Amino acid sequence: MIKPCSKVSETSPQGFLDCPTLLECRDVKKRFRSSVKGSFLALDGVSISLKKGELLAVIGESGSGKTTLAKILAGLIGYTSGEVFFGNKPLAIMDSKDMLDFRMKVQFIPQYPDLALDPTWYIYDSIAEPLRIHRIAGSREDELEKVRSISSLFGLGLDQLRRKPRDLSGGELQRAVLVRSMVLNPDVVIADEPTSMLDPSTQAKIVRQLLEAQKRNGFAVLFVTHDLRLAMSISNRVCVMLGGRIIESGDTPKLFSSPLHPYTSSLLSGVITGSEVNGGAMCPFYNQCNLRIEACLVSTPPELRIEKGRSVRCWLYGIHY
Amino acid sequence: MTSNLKYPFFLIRKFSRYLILAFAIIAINFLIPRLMPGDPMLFIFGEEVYGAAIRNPDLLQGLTAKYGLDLPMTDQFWIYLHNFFNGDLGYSFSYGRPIFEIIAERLPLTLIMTVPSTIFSLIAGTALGLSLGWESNSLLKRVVSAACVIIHSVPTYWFAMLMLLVFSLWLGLTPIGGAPPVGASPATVIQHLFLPIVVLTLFNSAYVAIIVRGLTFEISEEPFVTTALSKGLGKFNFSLRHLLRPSLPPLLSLVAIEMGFAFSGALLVEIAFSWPGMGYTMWQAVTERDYPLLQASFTMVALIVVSANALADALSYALDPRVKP
Amino acid sequence: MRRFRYAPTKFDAIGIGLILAVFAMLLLSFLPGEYFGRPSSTPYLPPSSSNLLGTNDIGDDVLRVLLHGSRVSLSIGLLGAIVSTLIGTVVGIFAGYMSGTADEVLGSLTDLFLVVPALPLMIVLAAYLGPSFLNVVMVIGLLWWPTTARLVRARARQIRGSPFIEGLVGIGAKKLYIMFRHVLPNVWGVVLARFVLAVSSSVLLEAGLSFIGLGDPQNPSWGTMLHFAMTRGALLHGAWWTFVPPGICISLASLGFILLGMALECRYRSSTKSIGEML
Repeated sequence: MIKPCSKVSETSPQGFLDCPTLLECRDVKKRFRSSVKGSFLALDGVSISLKKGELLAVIGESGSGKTTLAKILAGLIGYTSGEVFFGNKPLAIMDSKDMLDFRMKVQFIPQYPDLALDPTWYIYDSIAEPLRIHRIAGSREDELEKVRSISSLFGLGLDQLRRKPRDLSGGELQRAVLVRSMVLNPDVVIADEPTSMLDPSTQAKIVRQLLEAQKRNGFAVLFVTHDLRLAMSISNRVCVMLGGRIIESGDTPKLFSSPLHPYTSSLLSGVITGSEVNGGAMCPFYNQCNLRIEACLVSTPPELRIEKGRSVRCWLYGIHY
Repeated sequence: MTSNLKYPFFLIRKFSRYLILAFAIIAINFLIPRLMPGDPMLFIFGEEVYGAAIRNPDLLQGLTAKYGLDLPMTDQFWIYLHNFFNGDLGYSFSYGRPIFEIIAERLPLTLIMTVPSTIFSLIAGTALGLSLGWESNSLLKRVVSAACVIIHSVPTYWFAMLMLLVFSLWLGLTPIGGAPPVGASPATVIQHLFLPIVVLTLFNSAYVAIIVRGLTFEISEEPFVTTALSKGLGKFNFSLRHLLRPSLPPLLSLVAIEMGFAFSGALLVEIAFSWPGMGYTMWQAVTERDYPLLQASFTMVALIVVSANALADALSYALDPRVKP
Repeated sequence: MRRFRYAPTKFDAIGIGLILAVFAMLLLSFLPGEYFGRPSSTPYLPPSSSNLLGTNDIGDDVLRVLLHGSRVSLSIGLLGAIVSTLIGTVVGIFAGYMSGTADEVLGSLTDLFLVVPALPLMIVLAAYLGPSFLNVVMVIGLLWWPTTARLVRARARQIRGSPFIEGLVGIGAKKLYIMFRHVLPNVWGVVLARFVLAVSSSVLLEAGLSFIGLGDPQNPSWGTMLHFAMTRGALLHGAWWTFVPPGICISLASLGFILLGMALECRYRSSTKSIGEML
């Protein structure tokens, strides 16, 4: 597991909760409007907070809204309501200087490596680009040195650097994207299913490199994935998303050993539900749930804090827990 | 087919676009002389009248009052609109007549030439394009397709001059240009119209053929086509029913755009044939620096092209309301 | 932009060949006068061994005028294409990348210019500005950009949807930076193809403007030669050598660039599949 911030020790894994919050959002909703498909509520009141040094996994099936959440937290798309905070400052009122700082400290790694970098640029330039934009590059030699050293940590040599994206394999490209995000020494890395487009052995390599980098630099990671086993093995805390809401969250060992929400259990036992609801009050899992009650059909349960760091959104747990 | 009244807002929005365009053209007509470098009065009156007005203060005053040139722009614009919609398009000094009269005489002549050739070229071009679109590898088809592209690079009016050289000067079959005199026999009229229409039709069909060929080619690759053909449906019948119908809307809109080009081309062809239509008028206006006439001719031409576009759009919508704008 | 894998096709070859032929004329025009026929006092002499293309109405050697005309026609063609492609590319990139109001405004402007017939408008403007080399170039450049803009806009929109653009926003790149350092290189294929096609159209447009009498009289182009043939009665005299050669040159030049442009466009074909856009 990862080395946590100083407030945590092996004996109290929940110590993360006492670490400072780097990035968080409160009750964020996101509605997509399109003239063709009408409107679609991708996120329905999501609150999440990412603490310094931790690795938070966001799991869920496709359509659950996890990519949308990741992009909103990374400042890549806007949100319809709610608030997003970076280090206690709301994104909405940031001026351009703050934004630039935000962009430097929060990095996003997309799911599809093939088009993640400009196809007309050399890999070297793409990697050096953040340095140039934020003017930390220094002289040509300094820049070259920086890029080379970080690239080599991820197994990218001059041979790859001097080529263009079309000449690299999927794994190499994803590594290049990773390197580009490391070059500015970020505090937060938001990775959106970074490995799902790669073959298993490459997947393992990339994950390992990411974790090593995290160990070295101590940044926080928000890791979006649909691979439960992966989430289980690398994360400190987990959030489970379904139909645009977070239906359960807590630290990893507890959540995976004793899941609270019926959906989580069914995920863990490998059952594919494929459920999806357009922001209605009905629980998206209603049709497959064995433990459903009437209230589940009619209204959305609020988020209930079971204990410190553990919460769930399910009528099973009533309001008076 | 769905009812055409299903999307009333859509219709209004769609055609308001054309109305706005028409209005913009009328507004441009107003603005250009006033915005060009030089004295606006020179451009509004035309060279000769301007020269006279400079020497004659009373004339100058009268004209200024008439056009409201001492008033602010917005007032001038109202006067202009008022005049425009009452048929007062200004006065042409080089002809010594109101412009409206000149255009009323000349415009029909342009239409006599362009309308038949547009119709012929639509028919010929579509037929040609359909047959070209099927297989693309026979030598004949290659040559014909190449010819179509070549035709596009050739200046239409120059080709007209060539035709005049061959058919009028050397072979003496057709007159060397000009319009048939009033009350001429149909044979004479046809003689005069023959070359212009042939030339225009030839050029426009090439364009239509290229477009139709492209569309046919695209559609012929669809799977449903091979199934239908294998069932023994003749290509000709098939083309008419299955190809033409769905591709008519995009074809029409492309043709509408083409009409803009065709009209411009026709204007220059008129010059070559000394055919007294709008193009010829514009040419004379350029030579004489008769700005009011030139501008008014342009405005008429532009308005006609916009209407043609609007018409084509309306037709394609009537045929298939689902087509996106 | 895909790698420019040069696989020569027939179109390329013919197109380039024609272009070279036409530019050869341009070069030939710089040869000193002794290589061409002498001006004669007799107008409308048919082609002979002393005047390969005969003489025109004022006795000038037609071949000479033709070769000199190539300078004007080709340079206006190139310059007009450069200006219109420049404007069209900038407008297209802005409209395609910055959707929203900028896109709406630019889009409406583009539509206006597309529907209004270009050549007549050019004629009007050129008449006001006066016949000169620069005015013709300006008029062509300022009115011919919409076709380029439309295509560049479509491609720019596509690119804007690409993941790497999002990544660039994520590392802190500003809009203008993205537009010109990232979108532009990716639309380059379209721009180049359009430029070549624009040269072809430019040559034809210049010829048309000159034909109606708005070309620079000091610098007669091929179109001007046609104009003189028309207005000074060459047609009536049957002096075909005064107007057939310039027309052929215009056609060859235009054809050459169209073929090359079409070949380029096939190579960089984006998903905007409108065949009508070929011209």
